[in-house]
Amino acid sequence: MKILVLSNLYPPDVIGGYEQGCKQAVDALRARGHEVRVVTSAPRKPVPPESHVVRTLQLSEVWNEYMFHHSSPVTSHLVETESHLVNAYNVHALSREIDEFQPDVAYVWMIVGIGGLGLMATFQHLGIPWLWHLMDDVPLSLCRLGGECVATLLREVDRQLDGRFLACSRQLIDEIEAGGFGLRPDVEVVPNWVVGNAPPERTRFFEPDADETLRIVAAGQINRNKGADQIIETAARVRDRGHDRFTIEFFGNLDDAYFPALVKAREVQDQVIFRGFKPQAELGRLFLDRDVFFFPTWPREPFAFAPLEAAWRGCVPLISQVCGNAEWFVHGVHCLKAERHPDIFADAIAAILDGTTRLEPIARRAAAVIGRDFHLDTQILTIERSLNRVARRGRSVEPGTSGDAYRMALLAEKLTRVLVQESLPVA
Amino acid sequence: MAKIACLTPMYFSDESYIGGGERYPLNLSRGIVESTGGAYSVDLISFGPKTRSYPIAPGLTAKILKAARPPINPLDVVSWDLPAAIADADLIHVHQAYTRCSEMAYLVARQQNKPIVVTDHGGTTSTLGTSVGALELADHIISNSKFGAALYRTSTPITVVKGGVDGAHFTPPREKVVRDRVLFVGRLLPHKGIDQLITALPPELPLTVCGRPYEPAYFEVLKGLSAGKNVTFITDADDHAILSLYRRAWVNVLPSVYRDYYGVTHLCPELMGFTLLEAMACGTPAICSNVAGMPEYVLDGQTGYVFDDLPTLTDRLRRLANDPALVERLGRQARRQVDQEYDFRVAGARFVSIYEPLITRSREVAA
Repeated sequence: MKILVLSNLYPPDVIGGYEQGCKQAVDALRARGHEVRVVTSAPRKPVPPESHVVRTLQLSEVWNEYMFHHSSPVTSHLVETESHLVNAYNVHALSREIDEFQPDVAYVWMIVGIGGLGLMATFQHLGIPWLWHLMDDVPLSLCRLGGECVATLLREVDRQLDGRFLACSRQLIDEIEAGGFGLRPDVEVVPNWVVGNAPPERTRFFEPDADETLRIVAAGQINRNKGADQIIETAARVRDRGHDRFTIEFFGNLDDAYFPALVKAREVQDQVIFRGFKPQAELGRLFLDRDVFFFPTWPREPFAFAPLEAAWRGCVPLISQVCGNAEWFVHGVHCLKAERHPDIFADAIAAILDGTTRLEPIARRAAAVIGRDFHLDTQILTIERSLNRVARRGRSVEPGTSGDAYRMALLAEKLTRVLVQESLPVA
Repeated sequence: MAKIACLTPMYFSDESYIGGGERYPLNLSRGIVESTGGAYSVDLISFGPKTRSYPIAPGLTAKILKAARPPINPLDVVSWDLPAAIADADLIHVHQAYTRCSEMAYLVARQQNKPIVVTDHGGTTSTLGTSVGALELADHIISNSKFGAALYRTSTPITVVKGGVDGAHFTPPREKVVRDRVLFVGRLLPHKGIDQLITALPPELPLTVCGRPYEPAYFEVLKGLSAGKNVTFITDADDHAILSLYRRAWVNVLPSVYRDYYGVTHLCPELMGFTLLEAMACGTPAICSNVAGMPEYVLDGQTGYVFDDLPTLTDRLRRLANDPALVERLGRQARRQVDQEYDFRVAGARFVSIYEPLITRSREVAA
């Protein structure tokens, strides 16, 4: 198949696991003989060129909080509409790639930041069948302006988008549908995955009677959503119960001074240590030598990659009871789940420290099931089948032209700009 | 069976606006339904402070969409409800080509793969669409005059379909009436050239000026020019009163100008001149200035007169006022012209002949 992949960012330029997952899927599809062209944004820092990756799209950095909060209200609104609704330049660039590459199918990933709705409209106007891989509530995000969902826009997007979806968890599907965007029956669940060769079998497990220190690790974005404050509060609760043979290492970029301040305030500097960002490969090696992967994430978590990576290496995930990851694994069998509260997480850690919960059997079962059912070598077959199914629909008999798509995008962009500016009060 | 979504930023009602650009979509919508015997239905879509829908006639429904917020210019109104409102239509006919309302309609309709037909009525409020060649998104343009057709800059096909008057409502009097005045019917606006008519009016002839004074200062100018002449202003006439006025006039005059009383230039003062057609339908001759699309409707010496200068206008007014037989003959020929070409049922049938292949093709592609 000729597969055109659309993603706002692409490794090595990433924000999180969504883009990493995109690259892993692309690599797997290419390895299976498919011709893949990735269309993504110009990188935020220089990156080496790759022949199959076209980095030409403009990125509206709505995630760059410094820039966003140092702009005038009008500028912020315009950046947001360009990010979510339409960017005519990007429609032009995508249309050109479609005309040149003539894909059988479009495989869509994260498209906030590049005028996502306009790009989806472009696929539809040009009659390109598409498969959208959802690892976040992207359809809803695209219809949110100023933090509020524009209900009439969402209704129309829901009515007009005509393609198929993959979603990483049922929870994500439920969340998107509860938000007003229908996915069923055109959606299939494909859990996230691990890649590469199986790690060496773990031989050392935490032994509470051996006077060992329980080595807990957390990795990813350090913020409240991912539970950074929960981790620090949990550490304090465990310490307050008289346990001091444990450490919690944070791996990730620390951008918020609140968390080190909280560590100091709770006097858990000996337990909670910020280690900074580590590349994925290095993290993989670290997991082999850690006992628990602590992931007290928020209920909206679709399905994070890092707990899978850790569990595959025998590092037992301790995760929030309600999150995308939780629906795939059984408590006490493949992971430990707890209600998202520091007291409850502290109970779980205390149970490990006092030997009530034994990690070894959980770690062995988790590693086995992940290597068998959650490896990309398995998931790619489902992805490939879905792409094939979508591609079989074929392009429209009489699709619209690139010229019209660009003209419509220009008109939409100009109208949006005028309407946004008129809607804001004059300073 | 087919459904047409006929979009007009303002609609012919006291709640919205009373003008030719609003009457035209209403009349043509009725013409489409009536000329097809109900095989076509029309949703006349416009905008207001709240969403509502009501029947106008069998097969013709008004759908008023809640405007997103009041625009600076009422022709620039948009609504989030537009995509849903046209969703079940087979074709969208956009009235007014160069407004934000129409630009939004081009986008929404094209995105839904609906055939688009456009008719301009001279109300340009936005150049955003022009700057990107938005008319290229349309499938066909219908102009009501060759003059109007020449103003479009697009490769989209253009057909001239004249007329759009209700020849069943505007009819000659059944019984003999005394014709006793010169008549002007229209909005009292500078580009209508009413000051020219009053200036050319022979002092011995009575003139009735019937219309709403949208610009108070210009209304005062007209009243000043009328001093010493027999001019009556009627500013609140309803349809029945206007019909009576048409029937009692020697002639209905539309003296619109390219350059108005204040020196302001109007590139497109009249694409058609609706009141000329209404008068002609009533068997009343029409006089128009040799301006824009009007001369295409008034056949000089057959259904009325076309004038280039005020002395000529003065002469034609005197001639008609003093020759009842001439009024009778020109009026009869005017009515025949309306029946053959300008009635909205005739125009509606021509619209349908343009719609039909577009709808057929659209359905084939969808299938």
